[in-house]
Amino acid sequence: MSKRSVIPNAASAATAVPPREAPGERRTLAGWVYLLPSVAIFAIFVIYPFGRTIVTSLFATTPAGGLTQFIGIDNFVTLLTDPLYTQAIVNTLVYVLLTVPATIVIALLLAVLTAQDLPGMGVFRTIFSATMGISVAAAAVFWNLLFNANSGVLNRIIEFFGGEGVGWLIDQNVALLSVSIISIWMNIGMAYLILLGAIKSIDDSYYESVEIVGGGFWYRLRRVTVPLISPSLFFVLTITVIGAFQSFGLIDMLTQGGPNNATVLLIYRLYRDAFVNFRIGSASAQGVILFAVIFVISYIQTKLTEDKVTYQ
Amino acid sequence: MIQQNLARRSFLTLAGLGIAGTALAGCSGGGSAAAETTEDGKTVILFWNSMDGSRGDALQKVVDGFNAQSDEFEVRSEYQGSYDESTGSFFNMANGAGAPAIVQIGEQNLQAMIDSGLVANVSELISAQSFDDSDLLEQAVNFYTYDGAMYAMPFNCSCPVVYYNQDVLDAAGVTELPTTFEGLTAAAEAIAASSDVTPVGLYAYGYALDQMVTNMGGYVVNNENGRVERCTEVAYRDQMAVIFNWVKSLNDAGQFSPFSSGDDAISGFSQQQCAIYIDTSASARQIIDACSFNVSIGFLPVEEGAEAMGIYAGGGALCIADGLSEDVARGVMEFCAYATSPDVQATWAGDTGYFPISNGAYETETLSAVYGEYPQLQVSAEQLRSSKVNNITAGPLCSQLPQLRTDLQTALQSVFNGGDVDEALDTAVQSTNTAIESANQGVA
Repeated sequence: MSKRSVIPNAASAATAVPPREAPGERRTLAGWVYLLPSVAIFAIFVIYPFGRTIVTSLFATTPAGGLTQFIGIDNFVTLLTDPLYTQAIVNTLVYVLLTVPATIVIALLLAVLTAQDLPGMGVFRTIFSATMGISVAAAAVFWNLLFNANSGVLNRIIEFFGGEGVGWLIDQNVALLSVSIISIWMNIGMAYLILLGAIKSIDDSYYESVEIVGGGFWYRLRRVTVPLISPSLFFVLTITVIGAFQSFGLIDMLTQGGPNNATVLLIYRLYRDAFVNFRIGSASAQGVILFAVIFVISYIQTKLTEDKVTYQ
Repeated sequence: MIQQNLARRSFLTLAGLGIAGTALAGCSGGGSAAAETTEDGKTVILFWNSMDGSRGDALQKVVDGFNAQSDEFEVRSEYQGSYDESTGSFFNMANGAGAPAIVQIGEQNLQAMIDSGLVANVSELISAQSFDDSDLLEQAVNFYTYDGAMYAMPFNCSCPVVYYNQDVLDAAGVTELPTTFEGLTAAAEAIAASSDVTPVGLYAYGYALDQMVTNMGGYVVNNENGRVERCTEVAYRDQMAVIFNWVKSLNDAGQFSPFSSGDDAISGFSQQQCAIYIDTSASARQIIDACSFNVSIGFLPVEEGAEAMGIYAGGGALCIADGLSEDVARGVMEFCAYATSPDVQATWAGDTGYFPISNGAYETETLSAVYGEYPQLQVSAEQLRSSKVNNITAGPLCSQLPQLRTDLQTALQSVFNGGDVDEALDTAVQSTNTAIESANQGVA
């Protein structure tokens, strides 16, 4: 009913616009022509694959991805009743909670501490942002050495102080935390740099006002710094959350989802089913589920934070 | 003036789009493209492989050797990542322009390759091109044959074996390499009593687990390993419980050390963090060279009193694309003939640690020299050559073999962490069976 009423309204809205003059109309046409390349590319590389993924998720497929039999939502039902898949969902959410807040808090603290212009500060700024330049592969290799249960430096240190070595990547209760530590360490660089830039662009007069009022460090942080860099914080939050959902390299290189599925994240599971087990239908269904999860979380996140973010 | 500019720009944009469109059309064209030729008129044969590092160099030696002696063909070898990655790329190309004529696969990819309908029946090519297959190792042929037809040319074979730190064994007074689980446990106790080295170390290695089931005389998947009919569920339960319980008893006795990966296990073994461990024979040379102590290699264990059935021919093989032109097909089979010839196989085996898949190779001086220097390498070849030939040792034919192994690895890791054997196996069996069912749905 409501759907039907929309159409005449839309039509009348279109006719309500006063007829444009010929040059204007041509300009609109030119605008569309300019848009066409990006629309075409967007359609080919985003909209088509997206549509195709949804269609594929409703079919049984050959290993090469050919559609053989329409099975409705069977792929989804199988996934959501698979305890290992629900474990992957839980793992991913835990991983997001472990990495995102820690990354942002640490990066923010480092940025606040190094925002002052003191001699030698450049050295610290370089060090704190240095992880940006390290590839996942390189990080995985040397963290693997650090984490080695038998010969790794970390366990040597713990044992030196009389503690008992930790099975960083072998113990199923610790492995996800270990991977999270590396991920936080890797992501700090980028987050730090963005937040530092934002803090440096705050006008000094705000801080002068705080001094007049007599506010201390925490007051300054809470009442001036954080509100004024809130757009940057929001940006960092968004990219870190999406980045965490798409974490793949570290898992693939360090644990392959083990031990005992403790580090299987949604993207890794999707990759295994698509490119190792060649169950394309199921992998497509996982793509759709992942999209839905990220969509919902991004939506909630925007709703929760939109009135706290102030743009100057 | 502005109008003119706009019109001109629109035209340029449209022209640009036209070019892009043509390029895209070019991409989708393809189909069975005409064979490419080199400047001197040789037909090019594209060969995708998964051999990296020193193994890649050894493979290039094989390819160069072929090209040097062929007037008609030139094989162009391209590294395409792991077996699984290469198989995935091959599926995406769908035998269109730029797709390879030969693609190297791992044994776990065979069923998926057959299901894709993109690979040729090698047996037909063998008879059409009068290729002499009489010298191929029957155990290797057995794995790659389904319903009387071979779907991949055996090329690089390996199998899991047991590695021993001989120095530690000597100190413990173990004079003979164990062949049973009970023997291994006894050796472990002797080592624990005489040395600081943890007796046994393992990493969760699915391939070794299903080879051990085969060796114990069990089917890995039902319908006789998927050989009489497509498999519908796993069949390894009884044998796997024996293996897992053995690991658990070692673990409970404090004579066991888990490793997180194959690399981790190699470095652990070479640094004497464990005295006994199981790994692929393909790493044998690397391990022997890396260790400062004497390394012995032994057969996979069976239960006390049982006879070893032997193992299936794992490793890699060459799939051939379907629908090749007569010319290219002839070149492919010429390359296969060269690559499986005794001397080439012997050199390849010596360079890598794979064992030869042609009987003649074992008679060559090249291989005698290699085995003279590394007598341990002979053990792994012997393990395969002494295997019986039947549907058990044909090995599992299952499109979800990678999934099956991942699930087993997960289960074993849970046992490493003190988990219950039956519970771990139940989860693995259920997960794999679901995957098999869903995959079978797609090819029914």
